[in-house]
Amino acid sequence: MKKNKDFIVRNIAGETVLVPVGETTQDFNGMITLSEVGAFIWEHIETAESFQALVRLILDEYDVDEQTAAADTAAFLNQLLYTQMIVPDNPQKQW
Amino acid sequence: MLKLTIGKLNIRLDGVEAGQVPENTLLFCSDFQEADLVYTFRFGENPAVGAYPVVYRAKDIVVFGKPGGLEARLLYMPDSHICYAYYEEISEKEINVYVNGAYREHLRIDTIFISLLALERHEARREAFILHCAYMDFGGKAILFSGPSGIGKSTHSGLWCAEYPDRARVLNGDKCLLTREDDGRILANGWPVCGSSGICQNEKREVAGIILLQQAMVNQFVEEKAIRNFKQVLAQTTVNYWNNRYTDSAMNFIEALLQRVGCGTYACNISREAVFTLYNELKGRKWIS
Repeated sequence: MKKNKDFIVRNIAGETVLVPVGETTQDFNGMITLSEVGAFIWEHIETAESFQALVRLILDEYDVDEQTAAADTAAFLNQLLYTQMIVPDNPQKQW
Repeated sequence: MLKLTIGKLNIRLDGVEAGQVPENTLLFCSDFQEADLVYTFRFGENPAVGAYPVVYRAKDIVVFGKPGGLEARLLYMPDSHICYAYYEEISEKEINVYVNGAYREHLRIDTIFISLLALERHEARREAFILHCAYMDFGGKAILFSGPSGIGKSTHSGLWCAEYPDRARVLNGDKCLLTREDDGRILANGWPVCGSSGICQNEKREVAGIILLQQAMVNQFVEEKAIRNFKQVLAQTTVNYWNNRYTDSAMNFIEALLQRVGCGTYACNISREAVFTLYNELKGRKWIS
């Protein structure tokens, strides 16, 4: 997956937010506050080779069962895809 | 020719005279040797508009990106889609402003004239940002009542002036320019646009606090989490989001601002009690004396 470069990530007072810049601001106002896990996913979304690899990273980092992690990650990625904050890039990767 | 100092910017306007610009703009007339920006006004001339890529488009503006980080802008009347001016940066210092001859008289309107200067862009370069607020002097310091249009900024600041006529005075009913001094102090500066309030003064004060207004039945002042204050203040700050560098700069500024200056949310009604309640809250926090 590739991050949309029209969103910049900032750490404000210990919280991670995504702020739209560039052309995105014509359709998207405000900013998005990420949870701790959301920020973790955002950080690793481009380097993870597949959905399963991303879930494994989350399981290594957080005390959560695989089924919950997979379901929550899928829901979050769907939101990111729907709002075009991420886009599929390399067809070799198994997303 | 006119010379203005707005915030930290010294600007020279060639091709216009005092009688052609708004009275509020004339409050910022000054004298200096070296201008930071030189605008040349051309009336009724057709500009040679280059084939520059569009970086932002809204109903009243189209922004073009020029090589070297420069910008050009087509400016439209908000409701008629008629272009009243073309703004083009020739260099970081020199700017041409082509004004549609049919709209020459409109230059006397604050918002129209200031839009020709793209000042928010040039102020941002110097880490100065415009905050949507009623800018009130209280005992020599600035209290800034901020929030969306219609929330009651002018009403609430007016109530303060009525209750404390010797200490409270509105300096701008709609906006101020925030700057940071070398010693870290944040100053509110005058701004030549003041909305429907009609109150516009060219005066600067150190900022004592920012009050984010909300309408409510019961008066309650709350110091919210830093992230919430940040979002609210950013939403009321003029930011050219199409420019990543300035967006980043604006966010850095607001972070520094909120570390230095008190900020809280005040849910209130329109009453004398609303003023007294907030006065006691601010005094208790030593934001005012």
